[in-house]
Amino acid sequence: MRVREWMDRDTAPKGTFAFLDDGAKKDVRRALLKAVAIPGYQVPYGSREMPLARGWGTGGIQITLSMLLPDDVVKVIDQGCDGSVNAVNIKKFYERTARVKITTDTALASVIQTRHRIPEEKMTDRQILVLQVPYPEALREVEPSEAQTRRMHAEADYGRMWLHLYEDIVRFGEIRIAYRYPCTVNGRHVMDPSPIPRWDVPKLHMADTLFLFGAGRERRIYAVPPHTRVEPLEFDDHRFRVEDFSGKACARCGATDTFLDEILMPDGTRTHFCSDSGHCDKRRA
Amino acid sequence: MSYVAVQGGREAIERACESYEHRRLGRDSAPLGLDQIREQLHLAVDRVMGEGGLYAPEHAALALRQAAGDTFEAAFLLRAHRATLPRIGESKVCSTGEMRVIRRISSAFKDVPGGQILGPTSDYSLRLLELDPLDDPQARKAYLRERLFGGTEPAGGIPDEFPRVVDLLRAEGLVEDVSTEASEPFDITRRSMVYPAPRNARLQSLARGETGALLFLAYSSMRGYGHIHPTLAELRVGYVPLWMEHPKTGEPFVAGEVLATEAEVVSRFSDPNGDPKFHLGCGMCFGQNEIKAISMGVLDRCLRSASPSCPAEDQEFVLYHADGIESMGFSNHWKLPHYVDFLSDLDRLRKAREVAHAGA
Amino acid sequence: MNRAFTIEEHGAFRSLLDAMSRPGTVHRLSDSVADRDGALALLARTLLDAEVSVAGAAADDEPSVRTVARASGCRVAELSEADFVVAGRGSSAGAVSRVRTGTPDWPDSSATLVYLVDSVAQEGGDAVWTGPGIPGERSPKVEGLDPAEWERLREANSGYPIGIDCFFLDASGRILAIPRSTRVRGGSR
Repeated sequence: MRVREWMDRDTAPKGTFAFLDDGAKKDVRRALLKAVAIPGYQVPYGSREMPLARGWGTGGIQITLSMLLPDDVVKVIDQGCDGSVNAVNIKKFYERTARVKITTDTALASVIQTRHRIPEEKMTDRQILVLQVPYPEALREVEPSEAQTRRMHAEADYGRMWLHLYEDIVRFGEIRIAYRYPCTVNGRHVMDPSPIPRWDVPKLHMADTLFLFGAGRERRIYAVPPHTRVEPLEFDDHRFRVEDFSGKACARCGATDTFLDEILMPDGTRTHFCSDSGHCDKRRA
Repeated sequence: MSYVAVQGGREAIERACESYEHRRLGRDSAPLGLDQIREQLHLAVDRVMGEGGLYAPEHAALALRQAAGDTFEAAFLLRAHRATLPRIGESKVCSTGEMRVIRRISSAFKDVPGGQILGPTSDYSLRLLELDPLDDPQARKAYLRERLFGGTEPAGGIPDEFPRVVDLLRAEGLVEDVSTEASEPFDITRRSMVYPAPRNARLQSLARGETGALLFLAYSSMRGYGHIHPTLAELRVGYVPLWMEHPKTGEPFVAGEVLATEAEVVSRFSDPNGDPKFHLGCGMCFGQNEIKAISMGVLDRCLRSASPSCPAEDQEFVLYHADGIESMGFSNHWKLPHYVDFLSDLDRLRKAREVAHAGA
Repeated sequence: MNRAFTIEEHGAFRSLLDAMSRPGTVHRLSDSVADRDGALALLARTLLDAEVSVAGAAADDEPSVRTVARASGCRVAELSEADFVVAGRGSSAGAVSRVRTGTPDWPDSSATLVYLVDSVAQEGGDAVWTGPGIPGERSPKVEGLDPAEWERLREANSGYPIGIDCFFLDASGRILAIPRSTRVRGGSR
């Protein structure tokens, strides 16, 4: 009977370090270890409701809360920006529940949680990047049923995904997938890298850093360990290409080697700024 | 300059939260008491408890007040609160045969053993907006109390338990046997759903489903995109005792009662093995929420279709999309900035236009 | 007290995660744990609870199983059912072929093995490890492990992604991991 086991414990439900109760953390941890052992494979877990809404990073938050240390330095970004609504909210939550230090400097962070971007600055083997994931299933685009996509992964049957890309080329002369670009991980599993732009996909390949992906609403966790092959799906005569910023530079720091946000000015013209605000600040300093 | 300043965002966010709270607190109106919400908006409280997956009327009232009456938001508050609570035990399987009934009707028979107990419902009222305020609400309350409880009890009193209508049909061998799963329940709060999902997992998921979502799906099946034309064998609302085993002595004891609504629907028979029987669907949820229980009963039946032929019969379609907390969270997240993704989209469109125009 | 425990578990998990992400590297679960039993109990507290189960690889692993169950409150199960399997004395005694290795649809529904060994080192082994988490190659050394285990593990992991992941826990409480994605070439130990 469970009652006795619980009565014998002395856990305090209120004010626990890092918010989540022990059971939730352990569930996430077990899933993370499996995820790392099978790179790119989506491990199911019993995602808990968080005080932030589904779709606002609950998967990433659960991962971070399961491993956070009091001496961690945490950076949270949303679309590359440290000051975005969602990032600010999540940081407040970590400060309150785990009393960690917060930074905007990629180099100083031990754990970075992100939505839709990977920082420009190269991350090291002492850092972990936690990515928030809305759609963990790369094959959902071509198959709505979870039972079917699971079978496709089991059999490494990715023919329909390839066909999808091929049809794009035939119809549009281009692969239309802009972000969430499907990748093959460790030569086996096709993975959704989360809605990072294509610009960031090469950063996953043979990196020094551990990448953890959390999809709270869909109850999935997956990972790319360091030094792991991550290859975007491409054809020999139609290579994967990142976004084209040729001839453009950041109007703030002058960078020509970063992902640029396009800003519409009041006079109708366009100007560009670095999407990675921390990196941009650092270059200007 | 339109650049999202790194500093200053936090300030704006805090102001937004404060404006929300300020608006909710009202201008000159008296603060809303939790007892008022719990007693006078009890159907909203019931709905929020069901969707939040936590039987806690006080907390649900609190959530409704904090959410300014938004049931999605209130159910979400309750569910998030629930996630922080330790699980200290599990009740034994409870039987609604033990329900202390406050309402119980069957539309399958004119009269049923135990009788039709209409109970509290708006079903038989004229939906006229009561434009004239009550002169004296206290007097009205006293009048109603006298009318309802002042008389003598019916001869023989009200029975403690009511026989279940479905059991009467079952005794005649007229309904299918659906109680085929004796295994440990699949805990949807601890595990990610697996498809095809076992029936107990489907029912758990539906019981926490958003009322409107369940109604929509069930209605689609009743109306035309499906084959389930239900007859309500029985609808009952009442208090169900929850039995637990004492952790030290192992003795069973009643830990408390929950108000619940249960619906059992039978639908058109089929004849798979040469033994024609009615199909059965079962719905049950916290509080008094009859629309939800009936919808759930219909969907339970839909989801057991051998060959799904419409959305309401597709397990993944129904169960992945009926949860209000998940769907409202995700739909709201589109308000978050998406300019990086959008820029990437623009890049693809511009490239495709280049290709198209070069070919022209 | 409670909070210190929780934080120690967080730290232990970071070490386990690091170990699994970088196969063949050596980690310590906690600065204050320098023995095998203490480390095993900490590992159990960090990962296990009443929702999962443990079994011993052999009958004489019973004391280790008790350590794990007591520290975590997890259930004790049959070998073929268990989520975690403890192999004391550096050998599974052939149990590797009988633990859960997952299914094609759910390769994660496999057991995790914890071997208790004498010592672990990042270098000096005579087998070559390659795969995710390893820049180039690594040759870790696990002393006190039955050399036959390597062949058994190779066998169990031959149907990737089906397979099992292992931790090696040594006498001074240090840990080293090998996930199913690691390929082991040559060497018998």
